[in-house]
Amino acid sequence: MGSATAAIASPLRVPRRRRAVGIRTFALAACLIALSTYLVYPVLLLLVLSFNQGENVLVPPFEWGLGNWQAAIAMPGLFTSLGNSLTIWSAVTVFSFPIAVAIALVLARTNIPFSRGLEFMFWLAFIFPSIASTLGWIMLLAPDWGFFNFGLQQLGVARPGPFNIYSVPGIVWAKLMGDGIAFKVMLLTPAFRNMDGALEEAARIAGQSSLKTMLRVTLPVMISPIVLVLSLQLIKMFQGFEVEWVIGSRFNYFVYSTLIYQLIRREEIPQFGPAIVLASVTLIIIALVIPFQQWIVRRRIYTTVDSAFRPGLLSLGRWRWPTFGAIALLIFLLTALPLFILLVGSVMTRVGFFNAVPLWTLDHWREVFVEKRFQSGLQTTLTLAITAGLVSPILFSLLAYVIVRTRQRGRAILDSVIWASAAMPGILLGFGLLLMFLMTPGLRILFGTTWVLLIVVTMSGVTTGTNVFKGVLVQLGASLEEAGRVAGAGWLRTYFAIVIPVLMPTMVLVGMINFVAAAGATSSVVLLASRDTATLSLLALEFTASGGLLEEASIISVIITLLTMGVSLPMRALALRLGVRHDVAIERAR
Amino acid sequence: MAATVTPRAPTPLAPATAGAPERPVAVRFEGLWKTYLNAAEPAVRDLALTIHDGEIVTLLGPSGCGKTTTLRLVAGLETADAGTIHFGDRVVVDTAKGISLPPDKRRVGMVFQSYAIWPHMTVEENVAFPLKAQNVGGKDARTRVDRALELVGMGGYQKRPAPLLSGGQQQRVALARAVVAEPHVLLLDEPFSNLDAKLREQMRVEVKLLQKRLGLAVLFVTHDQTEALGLSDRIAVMRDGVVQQFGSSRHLYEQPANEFVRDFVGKTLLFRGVVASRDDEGVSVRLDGVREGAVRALDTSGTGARTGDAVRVAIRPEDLDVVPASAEQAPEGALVGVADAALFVGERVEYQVDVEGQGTILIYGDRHTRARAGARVWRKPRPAGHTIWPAEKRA
Repeated sequence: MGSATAAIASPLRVPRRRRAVGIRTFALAACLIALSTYLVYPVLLLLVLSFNQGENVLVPPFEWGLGNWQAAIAMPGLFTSLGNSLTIWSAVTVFSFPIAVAIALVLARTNIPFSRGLEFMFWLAFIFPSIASTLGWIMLLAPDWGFFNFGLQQLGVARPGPFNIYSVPGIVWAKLMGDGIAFKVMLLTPAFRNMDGALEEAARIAGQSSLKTMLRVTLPVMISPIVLVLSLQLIKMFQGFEVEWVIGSRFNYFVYSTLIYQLIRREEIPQFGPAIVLASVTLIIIALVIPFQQWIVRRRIYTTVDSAFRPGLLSLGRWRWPTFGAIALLIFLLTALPLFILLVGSVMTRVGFFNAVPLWTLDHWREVFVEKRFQSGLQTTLTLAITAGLVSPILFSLLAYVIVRTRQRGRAILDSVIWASAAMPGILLGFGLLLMFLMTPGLRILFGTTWVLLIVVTMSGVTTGTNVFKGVLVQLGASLEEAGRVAGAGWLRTYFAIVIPVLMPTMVLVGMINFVAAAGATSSVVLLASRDTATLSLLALEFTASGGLLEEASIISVIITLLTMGVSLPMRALALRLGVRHDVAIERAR
Repeated sequence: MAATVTPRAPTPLAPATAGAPERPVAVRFEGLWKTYLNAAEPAVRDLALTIHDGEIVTLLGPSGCGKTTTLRLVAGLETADAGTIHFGDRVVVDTAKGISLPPDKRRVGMVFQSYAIWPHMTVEENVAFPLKAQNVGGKDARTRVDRALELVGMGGYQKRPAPLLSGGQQQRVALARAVVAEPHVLLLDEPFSNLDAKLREQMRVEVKLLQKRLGLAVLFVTHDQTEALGLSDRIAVMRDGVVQQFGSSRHLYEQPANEFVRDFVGKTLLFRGVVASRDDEGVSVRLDGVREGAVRALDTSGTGARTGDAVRVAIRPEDLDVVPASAEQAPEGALVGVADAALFVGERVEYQVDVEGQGTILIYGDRHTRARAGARVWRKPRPAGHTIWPAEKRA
């Protein structure tokens, strides 16, 4: 063969394609602008306005200076509220974290009976609205008339009863019983389940006991999901609101979020100046926390789950049933007990007063149903929840698609903005948006309408939703869509005929999560809702905090609970059914 | 931004027409370049190749050699930085003119490594998808889907949901989907790599038969030389984005143009020797340690070795017989050595042999030859059909 062995002596110029400005660039730019308007603009507005010491913070003429800051520093209790936020968060984290890790380990890695059922119950506990759980615990632990105190008094054990929900430990307890524990168990258990059992088997063969294996092998190997959940907990530091409000405001204990609400909505003349300063200080602290959280998330110490993955099961031995009992008891405290108390409370003439005549009545139910505010609240809640449930999966899947599948330059920024929004507490975002809608000429007409609430409740799940879709898209790989393109389908046809159906189980799950979140939203909408657009959760919040309408509040909480459970259970079942195909798709794509 | 690179290896490009059939050109690409975003080196450099109607051309090479990128450039799943691609007379890519048809306008069929069978559809829906995209529906579409499924032996599976298919069945469906709309060229991206060994052999034969029946032009990507040798009409061996040699299977195997092709396609044993004579047909080499006789070899890599020069001779293992020494005197042209170890691996026996004048070499022997470890053996190369290469550089 005459092989032409001529080495190419002269260097070749490597052509590089110029990146075309196409529809994808515009799509990305549009996403970025919309998200920035929603997230960055309100924040900037808050920070800038904190330096306006004019008579009315929101209305020109503006007078720039440090007046608000000086007044805020002189105001007693303003910055203490930030310390209170930290106290509550630290206490909740210290208790909830080890408990959640231990429960997740037991559920995922041991032979505890009914582990799947218990896991499902934690999932239920998570979607059990926090306001309902808190109200239930108020009825149980209120001083004097709370059911526990009343019972102990009747039994002659203690007089007066020892429990007082209206205290800092009371707030911590209510938060632990809310989503403090359930949320972490729900996130950690599936991650723990995926660990290769051979690692534990090797430890057992090496002579370690079950407990030592768990402590020395399982736990260290599982450090990645633990750190991830801990980092999520970190950015939740400033997100507490409703529990702190309904319990704390009764004994004048304010965290920063409840104080902002108090200053804007509860004072005779809204105190925008100090509220804006407090919000700005919180934002600065959060801005310091985010990089740390991101650093943790990006370290990405993934646990290897290879094809030989086998979920090994450690034996609990004689502790099997006692452990089951302890976890079942916790689940009972998280869900069944508060729900039962709510139902009981809703049919008592007056909650906790067992000498009232008549003791039981359905009058409160009748009153609630004819109450105009309830009717409009129900309508608003359903509008918000259904819209969020339908719009968010489509929107978030598109965002994820842009980030994962395109090679646009700005997608990293988009990703960062989405992550940053997770750290933005609902009350601050609500506050910023309140200012934005009040002060931006074209947007003012939207203020007080359901539209504003719709945007907020839909977008509040953007971080979780987008990241769930991102994970699925990365796992799926691109070949399913590429096969569509090669088969002659255009981009849109491929997206609707292939991407959406394949993502359907995830879409149903994301839609459901956002439905539940929207139905129970409080902190993000509390400053934006008007009297006409108050949701059921806000009504329950108001009735509970005022202390006088606990029966009505419990009825509304029961209704919110029924609404969320009634939608999420069938949706979850549907997602799991569709998920069989979904798992196969992922398996194939690998 | 334009950077400059010097191609890493000498690229002894065989003429693109070597062994090419006398049929119309189905796909032709020239001057094709592709560099991925943030990559230091181009994935494909100045690539030119022609595929004729009814021909299977294989891109063969190790991971990262640019073969899959080339396939994706043809499919339109990647955009070329420079170059042209023609399907027959139709321009599909011409970067100078700003032409780059999207994948859905190219009319190609493709079988993905993962098969990419859409899990939310039945077999029938999967196969009918390309027809739907061309707005072919109704009875015509059904007939064509049925025919395509019959062709791949999946008749009767029309209504089966995709997740219930086995790996082999999925691959057949992927194949039916790729050919149902009568594509201009069929692209196969390592389609056999997820199948077990037995099924892989069977599918290889079936794909070859299907291609013959449909007379399709096929561009096939693999890193498995057995697959490439068995299935292809012509093979382009790639490395670092550059075609090292392009020709028929036999041509590549018997006359490798450089050391990379020699070692990548098939196994090679290297022996030291000295050129005894040179003529127009090749060279005669006397192997070190051989008392009498010489072997004939071709100078395919163009060493230009002359009489008396030290060279290495590449001998394919099957061109060397291993015989237990039965007498003191080895026959003419035989290498003599002692088998240090003999491993029975089923189809053959592998000997680690300390060869006189050559050193230790791993040699394959017939499984019927029973030489024990420690035995003295002869190895007699066939008299011709080898290649010569430059001698090792002394340290």
